[in-house]
Amino acid sequence: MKKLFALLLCLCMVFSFMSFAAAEEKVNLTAIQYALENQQTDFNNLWFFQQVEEKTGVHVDFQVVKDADWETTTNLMFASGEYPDMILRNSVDVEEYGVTQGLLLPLDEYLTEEIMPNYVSRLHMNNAGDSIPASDGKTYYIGYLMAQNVNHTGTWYVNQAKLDELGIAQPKTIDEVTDMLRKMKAAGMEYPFSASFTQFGPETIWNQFASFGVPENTYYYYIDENEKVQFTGAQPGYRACVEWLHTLYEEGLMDPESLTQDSNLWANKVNAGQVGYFCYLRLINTAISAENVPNFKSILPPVADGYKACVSQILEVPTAGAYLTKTCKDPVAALKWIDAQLETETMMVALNGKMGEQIILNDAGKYEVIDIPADNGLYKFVPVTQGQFFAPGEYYSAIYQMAPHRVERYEDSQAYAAAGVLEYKSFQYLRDLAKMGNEDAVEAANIYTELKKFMEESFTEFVKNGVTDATWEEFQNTAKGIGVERYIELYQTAYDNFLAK
Amino acid sequence: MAKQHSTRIRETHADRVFNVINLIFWLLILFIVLYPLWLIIIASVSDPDAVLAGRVLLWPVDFSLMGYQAVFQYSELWNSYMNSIFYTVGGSFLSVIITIAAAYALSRKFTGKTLVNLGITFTMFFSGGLIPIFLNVRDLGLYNTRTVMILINLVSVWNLMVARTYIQTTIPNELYEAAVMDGAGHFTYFFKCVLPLSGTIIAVLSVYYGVARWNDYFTGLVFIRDRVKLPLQTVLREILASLSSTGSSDTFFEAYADNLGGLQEALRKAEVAKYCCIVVSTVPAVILYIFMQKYFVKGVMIGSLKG
Amino acid sequence: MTSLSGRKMQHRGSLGQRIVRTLQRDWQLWVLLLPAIAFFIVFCYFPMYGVQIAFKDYKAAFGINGSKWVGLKHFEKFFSSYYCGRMFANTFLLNLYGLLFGFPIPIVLAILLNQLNGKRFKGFAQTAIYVPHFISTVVLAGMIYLFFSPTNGIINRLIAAFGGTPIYFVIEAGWFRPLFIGSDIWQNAGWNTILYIATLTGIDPQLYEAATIDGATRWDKIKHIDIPHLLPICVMMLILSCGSLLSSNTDKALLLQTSGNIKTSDIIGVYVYNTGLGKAQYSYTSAIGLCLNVINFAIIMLVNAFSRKVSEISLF
Repeated sequence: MKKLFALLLCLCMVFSFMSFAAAEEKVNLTAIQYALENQQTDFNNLWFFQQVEEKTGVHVDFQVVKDADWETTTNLMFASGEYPDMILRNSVDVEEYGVTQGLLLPLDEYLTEEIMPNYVSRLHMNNAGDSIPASDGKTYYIGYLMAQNVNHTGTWYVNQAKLDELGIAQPKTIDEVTDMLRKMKAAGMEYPFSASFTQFGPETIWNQFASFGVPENTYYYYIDENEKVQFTGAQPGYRACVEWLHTLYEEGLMDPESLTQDSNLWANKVNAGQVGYFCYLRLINTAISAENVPNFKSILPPVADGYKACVSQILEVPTAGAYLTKTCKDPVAALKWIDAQLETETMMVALNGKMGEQIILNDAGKYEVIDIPADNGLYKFVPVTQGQFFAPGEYYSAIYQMAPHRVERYEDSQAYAAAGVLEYKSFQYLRDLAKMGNEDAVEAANIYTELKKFMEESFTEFVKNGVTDATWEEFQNTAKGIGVERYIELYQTAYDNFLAK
Repeated sequence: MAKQHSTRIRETHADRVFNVINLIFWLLILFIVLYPLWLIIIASVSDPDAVLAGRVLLWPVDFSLMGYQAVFQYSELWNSYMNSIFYTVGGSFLSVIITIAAAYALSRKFTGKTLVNLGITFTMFFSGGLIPIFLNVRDLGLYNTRTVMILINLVSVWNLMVARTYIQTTIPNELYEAAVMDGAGHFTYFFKCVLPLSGTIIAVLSVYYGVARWNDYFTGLVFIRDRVKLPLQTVLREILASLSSTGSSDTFFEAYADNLGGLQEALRKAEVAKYCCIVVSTVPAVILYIFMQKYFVKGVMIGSLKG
Repeated sequence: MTSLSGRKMQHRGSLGQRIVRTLQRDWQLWVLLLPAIAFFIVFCYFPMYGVQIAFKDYKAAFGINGSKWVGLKHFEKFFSSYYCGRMFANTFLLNLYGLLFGFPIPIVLAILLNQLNGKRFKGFAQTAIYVPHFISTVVLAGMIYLFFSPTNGIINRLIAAFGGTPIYFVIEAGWFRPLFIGSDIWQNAGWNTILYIATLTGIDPQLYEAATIDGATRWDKIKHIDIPHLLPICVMMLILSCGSLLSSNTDKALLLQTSGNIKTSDIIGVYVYNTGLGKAQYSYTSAIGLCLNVINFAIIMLVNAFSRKVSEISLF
């Protein structure tokens, strides 16, 4: 009896020791997690993260921060001297907090097959990881990339239904466009040409410069065929474009609110059939309602006389996935936790929902979305775009059955590339790939603040009131006074350094 | 006799003209004030496309409660409503008491008064900045507590100065001198004489502090981490997706992921939701004010003044 | 009486003696003041060392004390920025016009409201004009864009109905200030009447009765009873308002700013916001803030001194 009792006691002790040890194995990490403004994702109780926790033995305590509060919260966090282990899904200033202040942990030594097999295996596909290292050459974050093999954001569209009604062919030159707009106006269309003024919107009016050989991207720089950085405002095509827009404005062929409206208001007009010529991201799965989609057709950008079409090109460059701070308790565990989410099926589940319910593996061996829960129901059990993701174009098209809207953009990109209407080299070489030191970056940012004000002001002035030689001259001089030459010089230096590598 | 009679008629006539003009003036003012408010109410129950196209003028167009649904589906909203009521009532109560006491003290003459005034006015212009304030709160152990929501901005210099002026100009010095002659000290005078006569300024202070706390979103944003403690305005601000210029450029490319359609549907809802948020957050404030109005009573002077 | 005049005849004495004396005589006042003073010391003066951030190159990793001292570098940078002069002018003028037009209106409204007959109508009017204060800036800006839209806004439709050409309000630099200030007045005039209405309701009704007997008209009563009673509060409010002549309502300016009205809408607050967007430059923005605060403080001290000479009302 005593022996039995002693045996039981031993078993109990062994058992509790095992579970204690098992509990010990669990790593507890803290993280600041970015959340979309209008979604309510309960990260701390999310089904998806519970699955990942079981797989990796890492428990994460999320502090959820919404988009509007991100800057304030992260800056205060750095100032307070108490850092979480990870910062997830939105960017912090790497040059400032990583390179200069050393508050972010360099990750180079951890990017191995053993610790992050999934991430490392794709890091160099399509040169995806090239833009990640900072100006000191170190890697401070794990990238987030959802590549679609696309190369531009603004595609040109015409209201084909109206063209058919009036018997006009699709325009190929700017003169034909003006002609078409006049006919549309005469036929009663309210806003033959309409755009928005949002800085990065695909429907922005700034896209129109592409028809005049100037790939304006609202950063006011681009790379010409001699690998020289140029100021968009100094180009003759810039002047020609604003003169053309002024003509449209005067004749009432352009929606005057193109100079102020956001994409919501603009989309409303397009849906109401009041617009004949515009740029946009794509037709399927956007603000344009499904029944209106057949009315519009994409075209190549019409070209102005004496110029070559030059559409602003984008590179599919990773944004911020995850950072580790210098006080991270267990970098290896943290990175393993992140990498677990980059495993192909886990990644697709995080984005689209549960296997068998929202996504399936189809006959071609690719993941296919079969159901999208209404009312943003996905966000209640998976992080969707708020989780980790790393899929360069080559990889993504191999594992994912592209939905119709992605195929649309892909085909548009192929067409534009084949027609040779894209800019020589994407401006993103300057924005994301060529790195500047912190001091230079601050100087460039300050010049940009003033320059942006000036460019927007002058653009509107020119469109409303036209250009004369005198005002054009003044425009150039004021730009120089603000420091545009120094601005270009800074980027040229950074770019030259990049090319030299 | 005759002269008096005609004088009375003349002033009644002038008065009547004045009254009519005043009434017309006020009807006009009320129209200018109320029409946009009416627009907000009907826009909050209209279809977003109609609102954007400017078709909503006098009545709701395509009646829909989608905006209110979008707002109320946030379970956090109800909790934050309760939080805000607690912070506002508790905080304002404390603020008013401290302010009125200090205002009384500053309305008297005493050594060191100028120094105190200067020291207080100085804080209205100069502050350490957000980071030192944040660090200070954290070092005091108040970060992420409900206490900090009440203690931050406890006393407003502006309100203090206004209350002090009010006491100085409305409560005559003779009253004080009379009380001193009766052997009363400051405490007695304050509690027995000043406070009962200060009903109006107390009501004004309550409204000022109450509304300031009710509308404040920033304090919750900076000092609170547990979402269960957030006040209403911070949560409302998060609910509304920013509708004008897009957010940071890094998230710009994110928007072109698969659910752009869903995102824009959400933006459409947000267009109407912002009007709903206004209605939701304004109703209590209006109720507070109506309640406070009855304290704006005609001053009742204690008859012992002349006697 | 003896206590009041007796104090004047005493010698001033040393600082220590004066402190003891005031604590002895006026200890009750100090007790009443204590919570407020404690608040200001703990929450305002404790963090006050942060003012030096404006003179340093603040880096979070090194803390405030460990960051490098750069003296007036940030101030020089600010004053040599290309649009500095324009920003100062825009900020100052926006606030000045706002004060000029916005200050008298609540007073007028309060006086006229007080003269209304009909208690219920009066109460209703009083509440109604106060409600716009709660409209958030985002909604207000949204409404302005809606009302003044060149294509389907109400105002332009009215203009067209009367035969005029539509005006593109939000893009004209000349219309920014009227829209900004006008909507400010619409939103806040009612709110600002609260204090004045409170003061007016505190006036002894016997004064009005006596005036009526003396044959005074409504206008006379306003001139000789209402206005003198309001004057101290009005002057105090005016002084306090002069202390924010270089402040910026950044949220609203950002929302109402379009590419067309940058010439007048470019105010300092917007510049600080945009600077922060590019790269967080905490020291630089602190320096700008300090600079503006110093100027605001100087202005209010001047106005206060002037007011003390002319009337008896002053901040302290």
